[in-house]
Amino acid sequence: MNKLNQTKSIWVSLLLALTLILGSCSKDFLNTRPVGRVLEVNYYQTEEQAFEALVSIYDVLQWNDQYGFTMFRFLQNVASDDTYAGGSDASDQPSWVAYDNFTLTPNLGPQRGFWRKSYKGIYRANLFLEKIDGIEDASEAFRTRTKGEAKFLRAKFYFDLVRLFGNVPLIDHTLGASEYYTVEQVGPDQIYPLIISDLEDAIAVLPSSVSSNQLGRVTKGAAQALLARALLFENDENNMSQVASLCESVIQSGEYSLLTSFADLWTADGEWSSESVFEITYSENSASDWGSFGWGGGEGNVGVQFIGMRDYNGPTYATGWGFCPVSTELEAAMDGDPRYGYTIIDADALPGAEYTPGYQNTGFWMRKYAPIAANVAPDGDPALNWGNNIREIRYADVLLMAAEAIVRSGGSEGTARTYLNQVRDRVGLAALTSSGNQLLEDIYTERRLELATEGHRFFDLIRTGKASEVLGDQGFVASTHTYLPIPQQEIDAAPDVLTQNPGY
Amino acid sequence: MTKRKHFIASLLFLFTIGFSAQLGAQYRGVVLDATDNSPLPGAVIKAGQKSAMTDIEGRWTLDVAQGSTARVSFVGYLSQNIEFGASKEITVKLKYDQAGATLDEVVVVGFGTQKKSNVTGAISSVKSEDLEDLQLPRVETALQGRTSGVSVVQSSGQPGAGATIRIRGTSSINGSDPLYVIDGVVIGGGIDFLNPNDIETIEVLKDAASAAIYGARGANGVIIITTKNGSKVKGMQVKVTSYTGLQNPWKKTPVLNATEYATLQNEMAAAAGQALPYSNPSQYGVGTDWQDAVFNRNAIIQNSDISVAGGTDRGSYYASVSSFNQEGIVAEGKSYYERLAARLNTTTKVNDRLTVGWNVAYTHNQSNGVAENTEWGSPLGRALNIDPITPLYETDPTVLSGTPYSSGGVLRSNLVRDDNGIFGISNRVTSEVVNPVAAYSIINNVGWADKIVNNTYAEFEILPGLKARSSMGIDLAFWGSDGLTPSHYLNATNLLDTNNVYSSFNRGFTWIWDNTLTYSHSVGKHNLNYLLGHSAQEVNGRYIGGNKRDVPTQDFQDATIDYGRNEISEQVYGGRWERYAIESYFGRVNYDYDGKYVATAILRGDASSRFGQNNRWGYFPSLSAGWNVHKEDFWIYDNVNTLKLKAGYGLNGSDAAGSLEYASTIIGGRSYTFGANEVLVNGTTPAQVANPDLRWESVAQLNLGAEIRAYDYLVLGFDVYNRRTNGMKTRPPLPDYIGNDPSTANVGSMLNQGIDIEFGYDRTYSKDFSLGISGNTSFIKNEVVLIGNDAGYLTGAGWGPQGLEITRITEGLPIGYLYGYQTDGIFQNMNDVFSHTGVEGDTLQPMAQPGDFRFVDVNGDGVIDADDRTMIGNPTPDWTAGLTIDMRYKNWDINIFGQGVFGNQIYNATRRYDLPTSNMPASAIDRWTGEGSTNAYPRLTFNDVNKNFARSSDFYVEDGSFFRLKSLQVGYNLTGGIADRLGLRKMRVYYSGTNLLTFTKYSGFDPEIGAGMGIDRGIYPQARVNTIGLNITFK
Repeated sequence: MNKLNQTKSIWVSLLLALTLILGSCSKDFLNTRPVGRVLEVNYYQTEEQAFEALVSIYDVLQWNDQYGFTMFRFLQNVASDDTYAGGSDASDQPSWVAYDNFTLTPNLGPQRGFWRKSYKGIYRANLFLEKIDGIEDASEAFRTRTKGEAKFLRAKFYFDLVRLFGNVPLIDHTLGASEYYTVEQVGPDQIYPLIISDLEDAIAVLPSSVSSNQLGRVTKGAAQALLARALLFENDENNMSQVASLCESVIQSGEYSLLTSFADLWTADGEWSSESVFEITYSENSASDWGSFGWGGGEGNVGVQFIGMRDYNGPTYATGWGFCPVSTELEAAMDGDPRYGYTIIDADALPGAEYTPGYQNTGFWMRKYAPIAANVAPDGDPALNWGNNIREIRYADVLLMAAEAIVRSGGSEGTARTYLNQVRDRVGLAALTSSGNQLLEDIYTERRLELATEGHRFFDLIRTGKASEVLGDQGFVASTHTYLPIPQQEIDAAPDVLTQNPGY
Repeated sequence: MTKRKHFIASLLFLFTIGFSAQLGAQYRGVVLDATDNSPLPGAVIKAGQKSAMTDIEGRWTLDVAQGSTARVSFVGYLSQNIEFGASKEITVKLKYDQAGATLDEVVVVGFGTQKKSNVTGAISSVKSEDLEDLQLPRVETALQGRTSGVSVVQSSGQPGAGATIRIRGTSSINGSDPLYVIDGVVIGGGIDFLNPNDIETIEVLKDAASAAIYGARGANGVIIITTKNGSKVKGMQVKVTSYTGLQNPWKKTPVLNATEYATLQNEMAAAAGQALPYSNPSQYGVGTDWQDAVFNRNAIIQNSDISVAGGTDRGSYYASVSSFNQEGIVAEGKSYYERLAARLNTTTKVNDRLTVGWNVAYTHNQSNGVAENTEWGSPLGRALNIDPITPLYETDPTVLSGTPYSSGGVLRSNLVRDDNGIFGISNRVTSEVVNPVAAYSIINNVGWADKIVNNTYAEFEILPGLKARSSMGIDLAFWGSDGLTPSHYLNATNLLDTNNVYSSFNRGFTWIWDNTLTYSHSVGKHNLNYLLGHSAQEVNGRYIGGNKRDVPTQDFQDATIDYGRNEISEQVYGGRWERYAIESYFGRVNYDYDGKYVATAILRGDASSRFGQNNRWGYFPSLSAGWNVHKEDFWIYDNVNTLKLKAGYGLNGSDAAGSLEYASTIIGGRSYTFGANEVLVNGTTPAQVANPDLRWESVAQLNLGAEIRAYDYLVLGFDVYNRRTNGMKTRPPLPDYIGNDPSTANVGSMLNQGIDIEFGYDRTYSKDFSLGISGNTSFIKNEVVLIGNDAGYLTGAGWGPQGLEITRITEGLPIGYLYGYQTDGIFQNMNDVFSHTGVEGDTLQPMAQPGDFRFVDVNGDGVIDADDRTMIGNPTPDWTAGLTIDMRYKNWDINIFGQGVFGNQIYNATRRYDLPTSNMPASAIDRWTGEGSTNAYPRLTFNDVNKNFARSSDFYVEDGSFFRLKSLQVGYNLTGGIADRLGLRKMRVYYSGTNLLTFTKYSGFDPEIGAGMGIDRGIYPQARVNTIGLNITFK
């Protein structure tokens, strides 16, 4: 090969190379088809995918850690006179302390976590309700039932919002970008109708019971009980007969009964007992650690860890972080009650037990959800993997709601007493014979003792108008603290939409 | 050792690759260095069509006619003409081109080189000569303190830890790491695979006008690294370097001893009305020195390197193998780094027009690391926080039979122990503050990486001045980790009943194909150089990993996933990276008129798969110009050899976006537990709201500069710049009621303004004595201009379980500034408390006691609350500076290098304020104890109602300025006769000391906090190192 030819051949091959690369860089080169991931626009095609979307709504129920630790039920204890905030010292969990002392400000308190959690759940429910009818693959039966579940869950989240904040944006569909700042903040009078219609729709389609592998999915009884609770809280006397009939439907359904032993309710075996109308489920099997907690793992109930005694060494219990010490008021109120030992731990009475007393230590601790050494999770960080389900609606609660509503609607006091006395009789208390206002007061007292530290007390005080009287020395002022402040960050993000609640 | 021998043998094989010179001729001679008469192998004697090259002894022969002439040339030397006369034996002595080496130094500018005198951008260079005598564990450290405008901060002292590099400040909240280009290949995943001894030059493109040639990825500056190629070597050169050093901590942080601790704990209890925990504090003596227990003294650092290089006019080669080992100064045996690196670079001139080359490097590294800079449990953080009363080992049988060591009277089986016994467990300090030695003794987490970087290229001269170049770069990396967490009981909340073994494996693959055409031509005094190019790159990767519980061994070496017995616990994860592709077109024109007026224009267009179809292409132009004033006829100042003025403006981009960041993808793990058997059922949701308009972040930068050289030995470089980032991606906080997380949007902007100054003094006083001083300093001011949300800020770093907000990003303030309350001394008495009133005369801190902090009502609203938090410090230094002094006297040389930062603050977050029983710094001894005792350290109590410690405040903020004698080196060079007899060209023996002196007011372990963004959560400090080394260059 002579030199000229050699030169030519190299020149040509370089040109070829250049052409090749220019050719290879066609549009496809830059178009990235997602691998291992699916775009939203291509999803929601099958029944399986629809079910995953439904599960994601349920998922929100068990969240405990939005913007800090915001366990709904435990924080309601803190706000009420059942427990104090506690913790290692006064600076531990400032938002809990603020809720305890009602030193809430728009920047300080648990409101941001509650707000975010509820709206996340509402978004997922709205998304599901928008997608489900377009999923041709799904059977009609599946569609009907899951829509009922989604509506139940949406109602649950709005019910939390309306109780906590009063005035919130009512959003019943997923928002497009143009709608972000056009939503309207409305009062309870406009929120309750959605809660009621969602729950009525749910009641119409939900099954009365589920098979054991579906425990956790909502039932007709759960929807009826939740609607009863919502109407009771809305506090319109005209609705009391409806509350009574909803509760009686649950009672007469034959699906539920009181457990013989009150103690058994609070064991691992007591989960989904005959007394459970609705529970929020947690698992000790998700092996969460701090790295994965809240990131798709985190199915454990960290609230249980919170309320354990700090640095505890001794029998029965595992160590915790010293939150929610039981108030001396509750301890006194339960003195002599047969449920005392299953509601309150008297640390001094435990043989060989020692722990580090923290902030607001009383020596009394919550027993119902206490961390039990025998239940320590096999894997992951024990603190993050407690499996204790939250007993969201118990049959005993339904009986007491029924009794209350019957009295308030002018129904048969005998029937009301029967329901009340079923609850008392189960723990061996004598039947009551009171009537009129005294009967109503007895029902309220029974609610406090039966449901103590289960996170119902604060809202019961609010709806019965007793909050100022009971929580006044804790700092409660009805005109302000009936509702939480709207989170300041939320107002900052949407100043034209949101107005702060009065008093803040 | 046998391993090392094996490599040396392989390298010796390369020696046999010779480059032969032409034989047989009439004339012969030798070419020598005019200064020391050493032979110059590889020099070229060119007479018309004929040419010869000198051999290893500088000898040449050539068959030419008498009376003809020839030109003798050698790289870096002044060429000389010779005439072939009567004598057939000609000795040529070439003079080293002193001026040429500095004045016409060539600078790598990306896709080519440029004469330094013609550079119009802001480019800093570091040459191998500046580096070859230093012990650099990794390449980034070569830049530390040696170039202006480049901030290099070691992220920690842990072996193998990286460095945080910022070129002219932090340009974005989304990452500001520069782009690395190594021998033309854009490299991802860091550059710790490089053997520092392989580096020929490092160029830093600081301004946008220069970096525009890398367009969409130039926004954070570009670091171009060129490895050695042997072309400068005369003949063949074998070089062996080796050093061994001992590393030690240079400082302990004073904390309370056991007696002091017990005393203050009693005081805290008494102040809170609690029972005293310690009846007789003095019985505990000084207790355990946890820092002594955790530090690993005399940790070894070792490096050995052998290289072979050679060059002729037909080509060059460079081959090297190196082995680097470093133990850490913390947690003996659990913190180390090893690197084995090999490289072969070759260039071959196939003919006058075609050159082909091949650079290939392989690196293996392995490391084990301990947690650092975290309040959740690092060895040093724990050492500072655990009480000194707890013993390192618990030996008392009575104690061991009680809690927490025993449960129900039976010793726990998973207590952590070693040959010396059972590790002590604190019964006083809880949570993550466990026995630090016990905690790290159970860590087995070995990370490893194998990386091959290859670049093959061909360069062809099509016509005189017109060159085509095609280069294919490959970057193939494998990395992963293996670990075993043995069962353990560290305290009540840190325990594991069955052990867990885990493993991960990753593969990343990148190819990049660059094709360029360059054309140079001159018309009269107008010189023009054009570049036109196309580049395409694709990145792919995948990963897999898993874990399993209950392997029947506690020994890491024996543990594998297959060996695990708990089938249910077996977990596996894996997936693929999003494919990343980028395609680019670029062009550049360099113009100069007689070397007086120079200008460069660049335009680059990039398309990246990281953005949606709408915003896929970005265009990045730049223009810069310079004026070599000293070349003008009117320039009469002979002592000022050079004066260049320059200005440039350009636009760069940053495509650092997550894959599919613009899209809404479906994400799993939204699970819920159903059923009596508690089955976790998977749920899915859209991961975020989509933003199809997502596009590049862009940086616009104006640079003005001057370069002056006077008296030949004084240089001064000066640049000022204004750098603005636009379209910075932030996640604007949409209202939470929307219900899904917002995607990022191009809404923010950031401003960096600064001055970079470099100066040098380099003078040879005599044959025996020379002195060089060089230094640099930079001033920088950073401001976040726009966040793009109504709140005007983004929350920054949190601290502790309560997530105390201690930094913020706020419009109008520097990025990541320290955030909290201002204190104004301490209330000395109740009168002070009552007189601290707000606008309306109300007592601002009614709950406060004497001894508590007086907090400032910053916003003056009459209440001390969260709104009073303000800027209490800035983690970014105002000034950075570096200074190097080089001295040579006869055979001795001394190199002193110092580096410092000034005007920054450090947030000392080393103590767990949320655990009041944790140990305290020794300064707590001077706490407030009564009226007039102190105005700096508040009273101690378990009932801290005033939140003296639980509020982020300036109490935690300290001056972070420091100046550090980074290295001091004394060497002795063996040359001439003795070296000759030993068959050596050169031998150097030296001592080197690293971090010998540090001047700082900071009270913590180390003011150099790279990864922490100014927050010290218990960092792993830099070591003080004493090293002995040997460099040998064979003949």
